[in-house]
Amino acid sequence: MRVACVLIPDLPIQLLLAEKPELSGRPVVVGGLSFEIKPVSCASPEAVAYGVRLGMSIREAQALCPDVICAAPDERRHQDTFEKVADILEDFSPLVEVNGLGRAYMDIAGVQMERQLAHEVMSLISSDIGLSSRIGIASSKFFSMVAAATSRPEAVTIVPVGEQESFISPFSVDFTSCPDKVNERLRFLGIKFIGQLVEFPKEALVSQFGADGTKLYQLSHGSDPTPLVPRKKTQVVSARCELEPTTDTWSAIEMACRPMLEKLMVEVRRRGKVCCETLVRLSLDSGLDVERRLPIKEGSRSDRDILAIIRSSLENSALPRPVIGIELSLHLAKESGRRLHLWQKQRQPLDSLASDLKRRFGYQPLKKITEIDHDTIVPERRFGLSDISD
Amino acid sequence: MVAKLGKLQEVTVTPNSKGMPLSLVYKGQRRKIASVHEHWRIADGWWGDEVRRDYFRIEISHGPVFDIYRDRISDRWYLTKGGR
Repeated sequence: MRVACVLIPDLPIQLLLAEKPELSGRPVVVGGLSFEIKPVSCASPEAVAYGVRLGMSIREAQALCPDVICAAPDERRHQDTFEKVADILEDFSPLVEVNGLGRAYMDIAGVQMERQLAHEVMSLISSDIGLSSRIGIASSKFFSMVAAATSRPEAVTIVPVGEQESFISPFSVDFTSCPDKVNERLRFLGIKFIGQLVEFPKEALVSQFGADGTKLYQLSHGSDPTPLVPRKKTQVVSARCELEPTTDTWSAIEMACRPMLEKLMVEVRRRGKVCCETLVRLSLDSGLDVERRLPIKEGSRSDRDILAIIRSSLENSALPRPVIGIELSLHLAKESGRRLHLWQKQRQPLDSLASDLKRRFGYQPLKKITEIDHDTIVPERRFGLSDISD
Repeated sequence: MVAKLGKLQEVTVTPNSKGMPLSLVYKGQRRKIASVHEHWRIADGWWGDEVRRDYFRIEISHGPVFDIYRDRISDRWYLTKGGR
Protein backbone atom coordinates (compact mmCIF):
# COMPACT_ATOMS: atom_id res chain seq x y z
CA MET A 1 0.00 0.00 0.00
CA ARG A 2 1.19 3.53 -0.71
CA VAL A 3 -0.48 6.38 1.11
CA ALA A 4 -0.29 10.12 0.58
CA CYS A 5 -1.08 12.36 3.52
CA VAL A 6 -2.28 15.83 2.56
CA LEU A 7 -1.94 18.42 5.30
CA ILE A 8 -3.36 21.92 5.20
CA PRO A 9 -1.41 23.55 8.02
CA ASP A 10 -3.36 26.08 10.08
CA LEU A 11 -6.40 25.94 7.81
CA PRO A 12 -8.50 28.41 9.86
CA ILE A 13 -5.62 30.92 9.86
CA GLN A 14 -5.08 30.49 6.11
CA LEU A 15 -8.79 31.16 5.46
CA LEU A 16 -8.77 34.18 7.75
CA LEU A 17 -5.73 35.67 6.04
CA ALA A 18 -7.28 35.06 2.61
CA GLU A 19 -10.30 37.04 3.76
CA LYS A 20 -8.31 39.77 5.55
CA PRO A 21 -4.88 40.06 3.92
CA GLU A 22 -4.06 43.05 6.13
CA LEU A 23 -3.57 40.60 9.04
CA SER A 24 -0.70 38.89 7.27
CA GLY A 25 2.49 38.96 9.35
CA ARG A 26 0.62 39.73 12.57
CA PRO A 27 0.05 37.33 15.47
CA VAL A 28 -3.40 35.79 15.03
CA VAL A 29 -5.23 33.11 16.99
CA VAL A 30 -8.50 31.37 16.16
CA GLY A 31 -10.64 29.99 18.96
CA GLY A 32 -12.72 32.81 20.32
CA LEU A 33 -13.07 36.56 20.56
CA SER A 34 -10.85 38.49 22.96
CA PHE A 35 -13.47 38.64 25.73
CA GLU A 36 -14.40 34.95 25.52
CA ILE A 37 -13.08 32.21 27.79
CA LYS A 38 -12.26 29.72 25.07
CA PRO A 39 -9.19 27.72 24.08
CA VAL A 40 -6.91 28.58 21.17
CA SER A 41 -7.66 26.11 18.39
CA CYS A 42 -5.23 27.50 15.83
CA ALA A 43 -2.36 29.99 16.01
CA SER A 44 -0.33 31.73 13.32
CA PRO A 45 3.47 31.20 13.31
CA GLU A 46 3.85 34.81 14.54
CA ALA A 47 1.67 34.03 17.59
CA VAL A 48 3.54 30.75 18.18
CA ALA A 49 6.78 32.75 18.27
CA TYR A 50 5.40 34.58 21.32
CA GLY A 51 4.85 31.26 23.08
CA VAL A 52 1.17 30.85 22.24
CA ARG A 53 0.23 27.15 22.18
CA LEU A 54 -2.90 25.31 21.10
CA GLY A 55 -5.27 24.55 23.94
CA MET A 56 -4.27 27.50 26.13
CA SER A 57 -7.02 30.01 26.82
CA ILE A 58 -7.46 33.17 24.75
CA ARG A 59 -6.67 35.18 27.90
CA GLU A 60 -3.35 33.36 28.33
CA ALA A 61 -2.54 34.02 24.67
CA GLN A 62 -3.29 37.72 25.21
CA ALA A 63 -1.06 37.76 28.27
CA LEU A 64 1.83 36.32 26.25
CA CYS A 65 1.19 38.50 23.24
CA PRO A 66 -0.86 41.65 23.96
CA ASP A 67 -1.16 42.53 20.25
CA VAL A 68 -2.62 39.17 19.29
CA ILE A 69 -5.68 39.29 17.05
CA CYS A 70 -8.40 36.90 18.18
CA ALA A 71 -10.96 35.47 15.78
CA ALA A 72 -13.95 33.24 16.42
CA PRO A 73 -13.83 29.89 14.62
CA ASP A 74 -16.21 29.42 11.72
CA GLU A 75 -16.28 25.64 11.98
CA ARG A 76 -18.87 25.12 9.27
CA ARG A 77 -16.85 27.15 6.77
CA HIS A 78 -13.65 25.35 7.73
CA GLN A 79 -15.33 21.97 7.25
CA ASP A 80 -16.90 22.98 3.94
CA THR A 81 -13.56 24.23 2.65
CA PHE A 82 -11.82 21.04 3.64
CA GLU A 83 -14.59 19.01 1.98
CA LYS A 84 -13.64 20.82 -1.24
CA VAL A 85 -10.03 19.74 -0.71
CA ALA A 86 -11.24 16.14 -0.25
CA ASP A 87 -13.26 16.46 -3.48
CA ILE A 88 -10.05 17.38 -5.30
CA LEU A 89 -8.28 14.35 -3.80
CA GLU A 90 -11.10 12.10 -4.99
CA ASP A 91 -10.27 13.11 -8.55
CA PHE A 92 -6.90 11.41 -8.02
CA SER A 93 -7.78 8.41 -5.87
CA PRO A 94 -10.87 6.25 -5.29
CA LEU A 95 -10.06 5.88 -1.58
CA VAL A 96 -9.79 9.10 0.42
CA GLU A 97 -9.98 9.38 4.20
CA VAL A 98 -10.70 12.68 5.92
CA ASN A 99 -8.97 12.51 9.28
CA GLY A 100 -9.88 15.67 11.15
CA LEU A 101 -9.74 19.23 9.92
CA GLY A 102 -6.81 19.83 7.59
CA ARG A 103 -5.64 16.22 7.29
CA ALA A 104 -6.59 13.69 4.64
CA TYR A 105 -5.11 10.45 3.36
CA MET A 106 -5.42 8.96 -0.07
CA ASP A 107 -4.52 5.56 -1.39
CA ILE A 108 -2.05 5.96 -4.25
CA ALA A 109 -1.08 2.30 -4.68
CA GLY A 110 0.17 1.64 -8.19
CA VAL A 111 1.07 5.26 -8.98
CA GLN A 112 4.45 5.37 -10.73
CA MET A 113 5.24 9.08 -10.49
CA GLU A 114 4.36 9.89 -6.92
CA ARG A 115 6.17 13.22 -6.75
CA GLN A 116 4.51 14.50 -9.90
CA LEU A 117 1.08 13.48 -8.59
CA ALA A 118 1.72 15.24 -5.27
CA HIS A 119 2.75 18.46 -7.01
CA GLU A 120 -0.34 18.32 -9.19
CA VAL A 121 -2.55 17.91 -6.12
CA MET A 122 -0.84 20.79 -4.32
CA SER A 123 -1.11 23.13 -7.28
CA LEU A 124 -4.83 22.31 -7.67
CA ILE A 125 -5.50 22.95 -3.97
CA SER A 126 -3.64 26.24 -4.28
CA SER A 127 -5.31 27.41 -7.50
CA ASP A 128 -8.89 26.21 -6.80
CA ILE A 129 -9.17 26.88 -3.08
CA GLY A 130 -6.25 29.19 -2.36
CA LEU A 131 -4.73 27.06 0.39
CA SER A 132 -1.13 26.07 0.94
CA SER A 133 -0.59 22.36 1.58
CA ARG A 134 2.11 19.76 2.31
CA ILE A 135 2.20 16.18 1.21
CA GLY A 136 3.96 13.15 2.66
CA ILE A 137 4.05 9.80 0.92
CA ALA A 138 4.89 6.48 2.60
CA SER A 139 3.68 2.90 2.82
CA SER A 140 1.27 3.51 5.70
CA LYS A 141 -0.74 6.30 7.28
CA PHE A 142 1.43 7.20 10.26
CA PHE A 143 4.65 7.55 8.28
CA SER A 144 2.98 9.57 5.53
CA MET A 145 1.58 11.89 8.22
CA VAL A 146 5.00 12.42 9.82
CA ALA A 147 6.50 12.98 6.36
CA ALA A 148 3.87 15.63 5.58
CA ALA A 149 4.08 17.30 8.98
CA THR A 150 7.85 17.66 8.78
CA SER A 151 8.11 18.79 5.18
CA ARG A 152 8.36 22.43 4.15
CA PRO A 153 5.24 24.31 2.93
CA GLU A 154 4.29 23.40 -0.65
CA ALA A 155 6.84 20.56 -0.56
CA VAL A 156 6.60 16.79 -0.87
CA THR A 157 8.45 14.26 1.28
CA ILE A 158 8.56 10.71 0.00
CA VAL A 159 9.55 7.78 2.19
CA PRO A 160 10.68 4.98 -0.15
CA VAL A 161 9.29 1.47 0.33
CA GLY A 162 11.18 -0.40 3.08
CA GLU A 163 12.77 2.71 4.56
CA GLN A 164 10.11 3.63 7.08
CA GLU A 165 12.09 2.40 10.08
CA SER A 166 15.19 4.46 9.25
CA PHE A 167 12.98 7.45 8.31
CA ILE A 168 11.09 7.53 11.61
CA SER A 169 14.10 6.85 13.81
CA PRO A 170 15.22 10.49 14.48
CA PHE A 171 11.72 11.84 15.18
CA SER A 172 10.41 12.66 18.64
CA VAL A 173 8.16 10.19 20.47
CA ASP A 174 5.57 12.99 20.59
CA PHE A 175 4.64 12.09 17.00
CA THR A 176 3.29 8.71 18.12
CA SER A 177 0.12 10.40 19.47
CA CYS A 178 0.22 8.24 22.60
CA PRO A 179 -1.40 9.72 25.73
CA ASP A 180 0.62 12.39 27.54
CA LYS A 181 1.26 9.99 30.43
CA VAL A 182 3.01 7.55 28.08
CA ASN A 183 5.16 10.31 26.58
CA GLU A 184 6.05 11.59 30.04
CA ARG A 185 7.07 8.10 31.12
CA LEU A 186 9.12 7.62 27.98
CA ARG A 187 11.01 10.82 28.75
CA PHE A 188 11.45 9.73 32.33
CA LEU A 189 13.08 6.56 30.99
CA GLY A 190 15.36 8.69 28.82
CA ILE A 191 13.61 7.83 25.54
CA LYS A 192 13.20 10.92 23.38
CA PHE A 193 13.33 9.54 19.86
CA ILE A 194 11.32 6.80 18.21
CA GLY A 195 14.57 5.14 17.09
CA GLN A 196 15.51 4.44 20.72
CA LEU A 197 12.49 2.16 21.06
CA VAL A 198 13.95 -0.38 18.61
CA GLU A 199 16.29 -1.63 21.35
CA PHE A 200 13.40 -2.96 23.44
CA PRO A 201 11.60 -6.25 22.86
CA LYS A 202 7.86 -6.06 22.32
CA GLU A 203 7.10 -7.74 25.69
CA ALA A 204 9.04 -5.05 27.58
CA LEU A 205 7.10 -2.24 25.90
CA VAL A 206 3.76 -3.99 26.41
CA SER A 207 4.50 -4.59 30.09
CA GLN A 208 5.32 -0.89 30.54
CA PHE A 209 2.63 0.72 28.37
CA GLY A 210 -0.05 -1.91 27.65
CA ALA A 211 -1.74 -1.48 24.26
CA ASP A 212 0.32 1.65 23.61
CA GLY A 213 3.44 -0.52 23.97
CA THR A 214 2.38 -2.63 20.99
CA LYS A 215 1.79 0.54 18.99
CA LEU A 216 5.20 1.96 19.94
CA TYR A 217 6.90 -1.32 18.99
CA GLN A 218 5.19 -1.41 15.59
CA LEU A 219 5.88 2.24 14.78
CA SER A 220 9.54 2.03 15.81
CA HIS A 221 9.91 -0.97 13.48
CA GLY A 222 8.39 0.91 10.56
CA SER A 223 5.00 -0.75 10.63
CA ASP A 224 1.54 0.80 10.98
CA PRO A 225 -1.37 -1.54 10.27
CA THR A 226 -4.04 1.20 10.55
CA PRO A 227 -6.30 0.89 7.48
CA LEU A 228 -7.63 3.76 5.41
CA VAL A 229 -11.26 4.49 6.21
CA PRO A 230 -13.17 5.74 3.15
CA ARG A 231 -14.67 9.17 3.46
CA LYS A 232 -18.39 9.43 3.97
CA LYS A 233 -19.68 11.89 1.46
CA THR A 234 -22.76 13.93 2.23
CA GLN A 235 -25.40 13.69 -0.44
CA VAL A 236 -26.97 17.01 -1.30
CA VAL A 237 -29.85 17.92 -3.60
CA SER A 238 -30.37 21.54 -4.38
CA ALA A 239 -32.50 23.87 -6.44
CA ARG A 240 -32.44 27.56 -7.18
CA CYS A 241 -34.98 30.08 -8.39
CA GLU A 242 -34.75 33.74 -9.32
CA LEU A 243 -37.41 36.11 -8.04
CA GLU A 244 -38.95 38.52 -10.50
CA PRO A 245 -39.85 41.06 -9.18
CA THR A 246 -37.63 41.08 -6.10
CA THR A 247 -39.30 40.67 -2.74
CA ASP A 248 -38.72 41.52 0.88
CA THR A 249 -41.57 39.54 2.44
CA TRP A 250 -41.29 36.08 3.97
CA SER A 251 -44.64 34.98 2.54
CA ALA A 252 -43.36 35.53 -1.02
CA ILE A 253 -40.15 33.64 -0.19
CA GLU A 254 -42.19 30.79 1.25
CA MET A 255 -44.33 30.71 -1.89
CA ALA A 256 -41.19 30.41 -3.99
CA CYS A 257 -39.75 27.68 -1.73
CA ARG A 258 -42.83 25.48 -1.88
CA PRO A 259 -42.57 24.19 -5.50
CA MET A 260 -38.78 23.85 -5.16
CA LEU A 261 -39.18 21.74 -2.03
CA GLU A 262 -41.88 19.56 -3.61
CA LYS A 263 -39.53 18.82 -6.50
CA LEU A 264 -36.54 18.18 -4.24
CA MET A 265 -38.46 15.86 -1.94
CA VAL A 266 -39.44 13.67 -4.91
CA GLU A 267 -35.71 13.16 -5.47
CA VAL A 268 -35.09 12.57 -1.73
CA ARG A 269 -37.79 9.88 -1.66
CA ARG A 270 -36.48 8.34 -4.89
CA ARG A 271 -33.06 7.93 -3.27
CA GLY A 272 -34.62 6.35 -0.17
CA LYS A 273 -33.10 8.96 2.13
CA VAL A 274 -34.32 11.57 4.56
CA CYS A 275 -33.40 15.24 4.74
CA CYS A 276 -31.26 15.90 7.83
CA GLU A 277 -30.33 19.52 7.17
CA THR A 278 -31.67 22.33 5.01
CA LEU A 279 -29.55 25.17 3.77
CA VAL A 280 -31.43 28.27 2.67
CA ARG A 281 -29.36 30.80 0.76
CA LEU A 282 -30.94 34.11 -0.15
CA SER A 283 -29.27 36.31 -2.76
CA LEU A 284 -29.85 39.96 -1.97
CA ASP A 285 -30.02 42.75 -4.54
CA SER A 286 -26.86 44.23 -3.00
CA GLY A 287 -24.92 41.23 -4.37
CA LEU A 288 -24.48 39.64 -0.96
CA ASP A 289 -25.75 36.19 0.04
CA VAL A 290 -27.40 35.40 3.35
CA GLU A 291 -27.56 31.77 4.39
CA ARG A 292 -29.11 29.82 7.20
CA ARG A 293 -28.55 26.17 8.08
CA LEU A 294 -31.51 24.41 9.62
CA PRO A 295 -30.77 20.99 11.10
CA ILE A 296 -33.68 18.55 11.18
CA LYS A 297 -33.37 16.33 14.25
CA GLU A 298 -34.92 13.08 13.10
CA GLY A 299 -34.68 13.63 9.38
CA SER A 300 -37.78 14.17 7.28
CA ARG A 301 -39.29 13.22 3.94
CA SER A 302 -42.17 15.64 4.21
CA ASP A 303 -41.95 18.88 2.27
CA ARG A 304 -44.63 20.33 4.52
CA ASP A 305 -42.55 19.66 7.67
CA ILE A 306 -39.42 21.17 6.14
CA LEU A 307 -41.33 24.21 4.93
CA ALA A 308 -42.68 24.67 8.47
CA ILE A 309 -39.13 24.53 9.86
CA ILE A 310 -37.94 27.09 7.30
CA ARG A 311 -40.90 29.33 8.08
CA SER A 312 -40.54 29.16 11.85
CA SER A 313 -36.84 29.87 11.80
CA LEU A 314 -36.87 32.68 9.26
CA GLU A 315 -40.12 34.57 9.63
CA ASN A 316 -39.02 36.52 12.69
CA SER A 317 -35.71 37.72 11.28
CA ALA A 318 -35.55 40.93 9.30
CA LEU A 319 -34.45 40.95 5.67
CA PRO A 320 -31.70 43.52 5.20
CA ARG A 321 -32.35 43.98 1.45
CA PRO A 322 -34.82 42.73 -1.17
CA VAL A 323 -34.20 39.15 -2.26
CA ILE A 324 -33.48 38.38 -5.92
CA GLY A 325 -32.88 34.63 -5.69
CA ILE A 326 -33.33 31.62 -3.39
CA GLU A 327 -31.27 28.47 -3.24
CA LEU A 328 -32.38 25.46 -1.25
CA SER A 329 -29.96 22.61 -0.50
CA LEU A 330 -31.10 19.51 1.32
CA HIS A 331 -28.46 17.35 2.99
CA LEU A 332 -29.48 13.73 2.88
CA ALA A 333 -28.89 10.93 5.35
CA LYS A 334 -29.97 7.37 5.89
CA GLU A 335 -33.16 7.05 7.88
CA SER A 336 -32.40 5.81 11.37
CA GLY A 337 -33.82 6.02 14.86
CA ARG A 338 -37.11 7.54 13.87
CA ARG A 339 -39.38 8.33 16.80
CA LEU A 340 -42.92 7.06 16.25
CA HIS A 341 -46.02 8.47 17.87
CA LEU A 342 -47.25 6.09 20.51
CA TRP A 343 -50.94 6.55 19.87
CA GLN A 344 -51.07 7.23 16.16
CA LYS A 345 -51.52 3.62 15.07
CA GLN A 346 -52.37 2.00 18.41
CA ARG A 347 -55.28 4.21 19.33
CA GLN A 348 -57.92 2.51 17.18
CA PRO A 349 -57.33 -1.11 18.36
CA LEU A 350 -56.96 0.16 21.93
CA ASP A 351 -60.34 1.90 21.76
CA SER A 352 -62.06 -1.21 20.46
CA LEU A 353 -60.30 -3.35 23.07
CA ALA A 354 -61.46 -0.95 25.80
CA SER A 355 -65.10 -1.14 24.67
CA ASP A 356 -64.90 -4.97 24.48
CA LEU A 357 -63.54 -5.15 28.02
CA LYS A 358 -66.21 -2.77 29.30
CA ARG A 359 -68.94 -4.90 27.68
CA ARG A 360 -67.47 -8.03 29.23
CA PHE A 361 -66.85 -6.82 32.78
CA GLY A 362 -69.47 -4.10 33.07
CA TYR A 363 -66.87 -1.50 34.00
CA GLN A 364 -63.76 -0.15 32.37
CA PRO A 365 -60.68 -2.01 33.70
CA LEU A 366 -58.27 -0.34 31.29
CA LYS A 367 -56.83 2.88 32.71
CA LYS A 368 -54.35 5.43 31.61
CA ILE A 369 -52.04 7.58 33.69
CA THR A 370 -53.19 11.18 33.76
CA GLU A 371 -51.51 14.22 35.20
CA ILE A 372 -53.68 15.66 37.98
CA ASP A 373 -51.49 18.37 39.44
CA HIS A 374 -48.63 19.62 37.35
CA ASP A 375 -47.13 21.70 40.18
CA THR A 376 -46.46 18.99 42.74
CA ILE A 377 -43.44 16.71 42.81
CA VAL A 378 -45.12 14.04 44.94
CA PRO A 379 -45.79 11.22 42.46
CA GLU A 380 -49.14 10.03 43.80
CA ARG A 381 -50.47 13.59 43.98
CA ARG A 382 -49.25 14.46 40.51
CA PHE A 383 -50.54 11.44 38.56
CA GLY A 384 -53.75 9.49 38.69
CA LEU A 385 -55.59 6.82 36.71
CA SER A 386 -58.46 7.66 34.39
CA ASP A 387 -60.56 5.67 31.93
CA ILE A 388 -58.83 4.99 28.65
CA SER A 389 -61.74 6.51 26.74
CA ASP A 390 -61.54 9.87 28.59
CA MET B 1 -63.05 10.57 36.70
CA VAL B 2 -59.48 10.29 37.97
CA ALA B 3 -58.59 7.69 40.60
CA LYS B 4 -55.47 7.54 42.74
CA LEU B 5 -52.51 5.89 41.12
CA GLY B 6 -52.33 3.07 43.68
CA LYS B 7 -51.87 2.52 47.34
CA LEU B 8 -48.41 2.78 48.80
CA GLN B 9 -47.23 -0.32 50.55
CA GLU B 10 -45.35 0.01 53.80
CA VAL B 11 -42.24 -2.15 53.95
CA THR B 12 -39.65 -3.07 56.54
CA VAL B 13 -36.27 -1.78 55.52
CA THR B 14 -32.99 -2.03 57.38
CA PRO B 15 -30.86 1.03 56.68
CA ASN B 16 -27.21 1.56 57.53
CA SER B 17 -25.96 4.36 59.79
CA LYS B 18 -26.08 6.82 56.89
CA GLY B 19 -29.68 6.00 56.06
CA MET B 20 -28.95 3.94 52.93
CA PRO B 21 -31.15 0.82 52.67
CA LEU B 22 -29.32 -2.49 53.13
CA SER B 23 -32.16 -5.02 53.05
CA LEU B 24 -35.95 -5.15 52.88
CA VAL B 25 -38.68 -7.66 53.55
CA TYR B 26 -40.21 -8.60 50.21
CA LYS B 27 -42.94 -11.22 49.88
CA GLY B 28 -42.33 -12.31 53.45
CA GLN B 29 -38.60 -12.81 52.99
CA ARG B 30 -35.72 -10.59 53.98
CA ARG B 31 -33.86 -9.75 50.78
CA LYS B 32 -30.50 -8.08 50.45
CA ILE B 33 -30.37 -4.91 48.38
CA ALA B 34 -27.85 -5.61 45.63
CA SER B 35 -27.45 -2.01 44.51
CA VAL B 36 -28.90 1.45 44.84
CA HIS B 37 -29.19 2.89 41.33
CA GLU B 38 -30.41 6.35 42.24
CA HIS B 39 -31.11 8.38 45.32
CA TRP B 40 -33.11 11.60 45.38
CA ARG B 41 -34.95 13.72 47.89
CA ILE B 42 -38.27 15.54 47.57
CA ALA B 43 -39.90 18.14 49.81
CA ASP B 44 -43.29 19.63 49.04
CA GLY B 45 -46.42 21.04 50.60
CA TRP B 46 -44.71 22.77 53.53
CA TRP B 47 -47.65 25.18 53.68
CA GLY B 48 -50.13 22.39 54.45
CA ASP B 49 -49.86 18.68 53.89
CA GLU B 50 -46.11 18.48 54.11
CA VAL B 51 -44.15 15.78 52.31
CA ARG B 52 -40.45 15.08 52.95
CA ARG B 53 -39.09 11.91 51.44
CA ASP B 54 -35.82 10.22 50.54
CA TYR B 55 -36.31 8.08 47.45
CA PHE B 56 -34.08 5.17 46.47
CA ARG B 57 -34.20 3.19 43.25
CA ILE B 58 -32.99 -0.19 44.46
CA GLU B 59 -32.35 -3.59 43.00
CA ILE B 60 -32.81 -6.55 45.31
CA SER B 61 -30.57 -9.55 44.78
CA HIS B 62 -32.12 -11.91 42.18
CA GLY B 63 -35.15 -9.66 42.05
CA PRO B 64 -36.67 -6.62 40.39
CA VAL B 65 -35.86 -2.92 40.62
CA PHE B 66 -38.08 -0.88 42.94
CA ASP B 67 -38.51 2.69 44.01
CA ILE B 68 -38.74 2.87 47.79
CA TYR B 69 -38.80 5.92 49.98
CA ARG B 70 -38.34 6.84 53.60
CA ASP B 71 -40.91 9.27 54.90
CA ARG B 72 -38.71 11.67 56.84
CA ILE B 73 -41.64 12.87 58.95
CA SER B 74 -42.92 9.48 60.13
CA ASP B 75 -39.59 7.64 59.58
CA ARG B 76 -41.41 4.84 57.80
CA TRP B 77 -40.45 3.11 54.57
CA TYR B 78 -42.78 2.63 51.61
CA LEU B 79 -42.60 0.69 48.41
CA THR B 80 -44.01 2.60 45.44
CA LYS B 81 -46.26 0.76 43.03
CA GLY B 82 -44.70 -2.05 41.03
CA GLY B 83 -41.27 -3.48 40.31
CA ARG B 84 -39.51 -2.72 37.06
